[in-house]
Order: sequence, then structure tokens, then C-alpha cells
Amino acid sequence: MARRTDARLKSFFASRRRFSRWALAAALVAMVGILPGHAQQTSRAKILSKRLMCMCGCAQVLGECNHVGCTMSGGMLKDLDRQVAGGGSDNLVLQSFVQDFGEKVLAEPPARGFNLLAWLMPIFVTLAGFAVVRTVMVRWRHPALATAAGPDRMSGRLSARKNDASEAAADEMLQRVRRESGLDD
Amino acid sequence: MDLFGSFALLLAFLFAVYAVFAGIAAIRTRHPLLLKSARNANFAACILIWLATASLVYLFFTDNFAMAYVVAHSSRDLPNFYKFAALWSGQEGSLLFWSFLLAGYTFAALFVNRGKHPELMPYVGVILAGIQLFFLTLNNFIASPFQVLGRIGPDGLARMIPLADGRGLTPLLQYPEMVIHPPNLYMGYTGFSVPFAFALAALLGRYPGEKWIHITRRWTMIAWGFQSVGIILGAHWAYAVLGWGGYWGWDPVENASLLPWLTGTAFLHSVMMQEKRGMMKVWNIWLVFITFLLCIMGTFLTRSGVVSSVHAFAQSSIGPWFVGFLILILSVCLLAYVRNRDYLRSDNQLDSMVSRESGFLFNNLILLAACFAVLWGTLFPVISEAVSGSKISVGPPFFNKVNIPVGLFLLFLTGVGPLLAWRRTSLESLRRNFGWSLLAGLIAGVVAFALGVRHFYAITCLMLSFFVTLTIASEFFRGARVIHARTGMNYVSSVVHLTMRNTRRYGGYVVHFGMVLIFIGLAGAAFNQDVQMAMRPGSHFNLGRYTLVCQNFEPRTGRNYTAERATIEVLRGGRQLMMLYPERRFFQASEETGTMVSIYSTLREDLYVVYAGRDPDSNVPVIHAYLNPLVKWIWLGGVILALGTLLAMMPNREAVLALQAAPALAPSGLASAQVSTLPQPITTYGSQD
Repeated sequence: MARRTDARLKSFFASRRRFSRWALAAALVAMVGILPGHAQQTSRAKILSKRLMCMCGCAQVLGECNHVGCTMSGGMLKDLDRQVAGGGSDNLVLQSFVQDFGEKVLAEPPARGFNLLAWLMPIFVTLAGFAVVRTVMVRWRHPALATAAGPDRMSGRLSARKNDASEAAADEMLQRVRRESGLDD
Repeated sequence: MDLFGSFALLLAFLFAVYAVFAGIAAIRTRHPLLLKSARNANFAACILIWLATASLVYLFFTDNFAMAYVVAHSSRDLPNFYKFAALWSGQEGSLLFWSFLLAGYTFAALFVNRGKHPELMPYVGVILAGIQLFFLTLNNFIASPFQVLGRIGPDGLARMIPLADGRGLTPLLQYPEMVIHPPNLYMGYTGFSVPFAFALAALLGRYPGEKWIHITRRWTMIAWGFQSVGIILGAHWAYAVLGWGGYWGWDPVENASLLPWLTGTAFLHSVMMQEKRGMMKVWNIWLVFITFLLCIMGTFLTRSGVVSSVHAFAQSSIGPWFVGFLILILSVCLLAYVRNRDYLRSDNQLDSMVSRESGFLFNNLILLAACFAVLWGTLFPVISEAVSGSKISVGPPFFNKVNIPVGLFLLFLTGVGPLLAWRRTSLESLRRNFGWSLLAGLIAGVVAFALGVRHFYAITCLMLSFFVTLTIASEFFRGARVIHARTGMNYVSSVVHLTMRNTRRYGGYVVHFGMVLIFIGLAGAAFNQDVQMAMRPGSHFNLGRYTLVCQNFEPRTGRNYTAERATIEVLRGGRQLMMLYPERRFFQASEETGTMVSIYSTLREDLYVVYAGRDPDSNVPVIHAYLNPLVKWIWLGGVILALGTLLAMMPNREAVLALQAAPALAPSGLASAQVSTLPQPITTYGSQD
């Protein structure tokens, strides 16, 4: 009898534990709500999802947005899957998103109009930088072209020479290492 | 304690005001007492800021929910570990934290240099106090962390209304790295204030020579080191917490941390031109100015919400204050430059187009081009909207397209630059120094191609990584070989001896090697794979050489959250490898969810599993798994970079020995003269590259 009671109690508490686990799980699902998880995408949809931005304001690429509480990415990805499955070209798919959300949905600025500047400026600045460095090197290579030397210029040269001399004296061994190891010409 | 904190901050503000104005008066009148009192006011302001910060930490630990800031960022069930991190989790606290760290730097800079550089230090004190004054203004009058919750009672008196509990800390911040990542980054941002103060002081005071550079070299390296570690930790946090499978999303806040790092890196290189050859004085001083301006700009971008970001935790209308401060600093820098530019005349002379000097010029060009590209891309949405009225996005594809070629060129220079000789490098030397390394790089590329790697950037990165690693290794080997031949030491001891003889040069090489590892890790991203699948217990899918089997989903509870955890069995070759437990947490206090990613990490690849939520249609849990090759190399590279920075900051062994020997030489007159010159090698060693 006692054994049966024990078994009942165990069963009762086991079912209570099971129940509380299920209750906790249900509460979690209710609290967490429907999160943006969704089924597997095709590889083309995946590539396209990285050319689009999530429109929830998280500033993340659509294919990488798992922003907590995101209300947009799930629907957008589904829409993308549907359009890719429909057989539309990449441009058509992207354009349909642009129609829905504006150009802001594209992960990179379109290379036209004012937005072309986004692409050109880094190239222009780098090329201009190369030109400046080249000009500077040519000028420094021919000191006669450089501006006239003033007293500060002379002191700068002296201080540099002094630096070199003191450094050589202070660490003669290292200089030797470099010379003998063929690193100094 | 709330009153104590706000009173301490107010007093600190008054002391900072005094430090600025008394300092200016002292510079003008050269009155020694005024000078001393200005410096002491600076010290007092620092101590008061520390006390205010300590009082805010105390309010967090004692759960004082009458304080608005504590209510907004903490709760009773928040672990103590995170109560400390809550200090910088919001606008007000993070601004106080800025002041706290700046106070540390200010105190250290003034204390270490007390009694030294009498022409320079008064300016430094005024500039550091001026920066502190800006942040104290914000702390006291714009965004005070000591605001209390209260209301006016019927008798017209204000009463505090403590709440029972707080709203808790943002789940994204409840991660161990958030306790160390922001302080590191802030140490970087604030640390650049010191070289900025010395540079501006040298310009304003027309301080002779390159001494300010020698004084600030270690300060700059400390700031740069912290900034580097902060960026790496931030990337690791994004990887391990945000759950999107990546570590760098070109988010504006991430970009903001990268900008001063890029210019700071350029400065650390070009400064050697000034030390060694007396060149590029104007360039260097402007690099320091720009680096500091970018630090302030980074804080502005993080705080103002001018650009949208996934992790700008503390946005408000504080932006105009930062814009005003930026304009003020820029104006002061421009004015100082225009008035004293003749002081910066350099001895610019290039002996050969192929030399260390030209290498540094290209290094600086590339670093600044990268900085411009990142800044341009970050701000372009704002510019575009202002000019054309249309909103556009500039996301990771843009930054990757623009910056990957620039980064690879920089990697190439990392290998070439250090082996170019100062003044002139002959073709024979180039062939001797680079021949084998270049050949090895090319062979690595051919082998990778033969093995089926077709990604252009990945192959280029691999070739360059081999090339740079071998040039670094050969530099150590050649030096060690000479020492070995001369002293009979074994090669390992020779390498250690060589390194300790010139920590700056060889520490720099270690940093370069760390960067090579980081580049290898970044190249791995070209081969990322991922699978997302709705999974019921028992279902499975394959990813690379792994099979992932879903065992179950179970609820669990933590101290301040409840969670649903997935158990994923990982098989390789049909045999069980390990279990992974990704979970989603729900934090009751803040009513927010968080992701706990589960990662199986090896040097070859990371298996990164995220519990992505439930399918909206079927309510079945969805698992998103990524296979990210070589990611561990990034973290390994970060550790090596940090160690290299530490090494580069250490004094050279010979200099230490010379100082230790000094007392024994003191008795004779001649020896005394020698002793007096002994400390000099420290500064001259400092100028070695």
C-alpha cells in the first residue's frame, strides 16, 4: 500500500515537474512571441538577402538581421523567397523591394546621380593622395625646388643629425647587427 | 550618496574652470604660484571626478532605485558583475566614465611630468583641463547621472520616490566582454587626449625640437593599444552575442572606433620620420589633431543618433554639444597652426624614391585613404539625404568593395616597409630582402589555386600573408644569426636578446605579425557557409563536414531570465563530436530577449549555432548554423597584436642596464659627467624604429 502511495506521489510530482516545464516553455513562447526564424532559403535568395537592408531600423543587412524583436526581416525574407521562386531576375527582385521601401532598402548606394559620388570619392581621394605623395617625393628628392631654408630648417637638420649620431653611439651593437646582416646599404 | 556624487561633480567643474583660467593667466604672467595652483586645481578636479564615479558605482551596488540612472540600467536581480558594467551602459554614465578615464590620464600625465618641461606643461594642463571642462559641463548640466526620481508634494516640497526595482540592463550588454570591451575602447578614445594636448601645447608654446614626440610616444602607444584591444573585443562581442554569424558589420559605431585607430596607426608610423630625419612635422601634428577630433566625432556618432546603428545604446539630443566642441577644437588647432606654422618647418629631403621614407609616405596615404573611405561611407547617407532629399543606405557591401583592396595594399606595405633602408635602398638589397619571401608568397598562391581556391581576394591575402610573415621571420633570423655568430648564444636566446635590445622595432614586427593573422582570419569570411532550418527533435542537417542533430528544446531559468535552450548534437564522420546548447533568453526586468550563441571553435573553422526563434507559420524552432573558417585567427592575431604593443612599450634592455649601473659610477668627477648623460639613451632608443 505504502509502495503504491509512493509511486502515486512520485508520479504526481513527476507530472507536476513535467507540467511546470511545459508551462514554462509555453510562457516562454508566449513571452518571446514569434521570433523572426524562418525556413531555409535558396542560395540565390541568400545572396540577394545580403544586397538588401532590413527595414526595421537596425542598420543590418537583411540576410544577417536577427535583431531581437525585429518585425520586418521575417516578412521581407519570405517575400524575397517568394519572388526568387517566381523566377524574376535579380534586378527585378531588387526593384520590387525598392518600390516597396525606396532606395534605402539597397545595401549599397546605386551608382547613379548624386549617389555615384559615394563610389567615386574614395577612388578620387586615393588617386589624388597618390598624386600628392608623388609630387612631394619629387620635390623632396630635389631640394632646390623646395622652399628656401630658414633658421628652423637648419636647426631641424642639425637635430636630425644629432639624433642619428647619438643613436648610433648608443646602440652600436644593433647598428652592427643590421649592417652585418645585410639590411643596411 | 546621490548628493555627494552631484556635489563632487559640481566641485570638479569649478576646479576645472579654475585650472583653465588660472593656467592661461599663469602662461601669460609666468607666475610660479599661479602655475602651481592651476596644476593643483587639475589634480583636485581629477580626484573629485573619481569620487563622483565611485559614488555612482556605490548607488548601483546598493540598488538605490530613487536614482533615475540606476532605475534605467539596473535591477535587484542583476548580477554584481554587470552592476559595475551598468555604469557605462547609458548616456549619462558613459559620459561620466569618459571624464573618469580622462581624469586618470590627466593626473598621470601631469604627475609623471611634474617638475619637467616647464615651458610645455602649463599648456598641457590647460588643454587637458579644457577637454575635461567640456565633459564636466555635460555631466553637470546636460546629462547628469545623479538625477533622482521625485515629485512636488502638496506642500510644494520635492520628494524622492524610490521605486521597488529597476528596469534592468539591456540583455545585449549582459555578457562578460561588455565589462572589458567598452573600458578598453574608452581608454583608447580618452588616451589620445594626451598626445593631442602635448602636440597642441608644443605648437602653442613653440616648444623646440621633437621632444613632445619623445614624451608622448608611450602615451600614444598606450592609447593605440587600448583602442586596438577595444576594437577586437568589440568584434568578439558582436560575434558571440549578436548572433548574426559575423564580427564586423560596418555599423557606424564600429566605424567610429576604427577611424581614430587608422589615423593613430598612421601617426605611429610617420612619427618615426620626424624622430629620425626631422621630416613631416606639419603632417604629424595634424595627424594627432585629426586623431583626437575623430575620437570626439566617434563619441558624437555613438551618442547623437545622427546615423542609425544597431548598438548605439545611448542616443539623445546631445549631438549639438559635440558638434560645438568639434568646431571649437578645430578652430583652436587651425588658429594655433596659422600663427605658429613657421615653427613646423621641416627638413624634408628624400635621398631616394625607394627608401623607408617613401614607404612611410605610402603607408600614411593608404591608412588615410581607408579612414576617408570609412568616414565617407558612414556619413554619406546623411549627406545624400541633405543634398538630394532621398534616403539611402551604405551597408557592408560598399565598405567591403572599397576597403578590401586598400587593406590588401596595406598588408603588402606591412611586408615591404620595414625592410627598406632609411635614405636609400638598392635594387640588390631589394632582391636579397624580398626575393625568397616573394617567391614563397607566389608558391602559396599557386598551391591554393591548385587546391581549388578561386576567390581572388582570398588568394591575394594568402600570398601577401606568406610574404609578410616570411619578411618578418627573416628580419628576426638575420639579426639572431649575427648575434649567434658573435656571442655563441643559441638562436632562441639570440632572438630574445635582439628583441630586447630594440623593443620598439621588434615589438612593431610582432604587431605586424598579429595583423597578418587578423587578415588571414578576415580572408576566411570568403568561404562562410550557413544553413537555416526549422527543426523538430530528431531532425538533422549537414553543414560542411558536420552533421547537426536536434536532440530537444527545453526551458531553463537563470537568476534574472528564463530561457529556451536547444540541444544540438554535432557529428563528424558519423561519430559524435560534441553537444552545442544555443538558447534564447527572456529578461523579465527589461522584457527583452537575448541570444546565447553556441560555438565550436577550432583554428580551421568555427561551427556557430544560433537558436533563431520559431517559424512564424509552423511555430517550429529554427536553428541557424554557420561554418565560418579561420575566425579564431582573428582573436589570436588580436592577442599577438596586444603583446607586440606591450613589447614595443618596454624600455630597451641596454638602457635599463645603463641606468642600473649609474650609482656605481657616481664618485669621480668624470664618472659623474657620464652618469648625467646616462638617462639619455632612453630617449634616443625611443627614437629608434
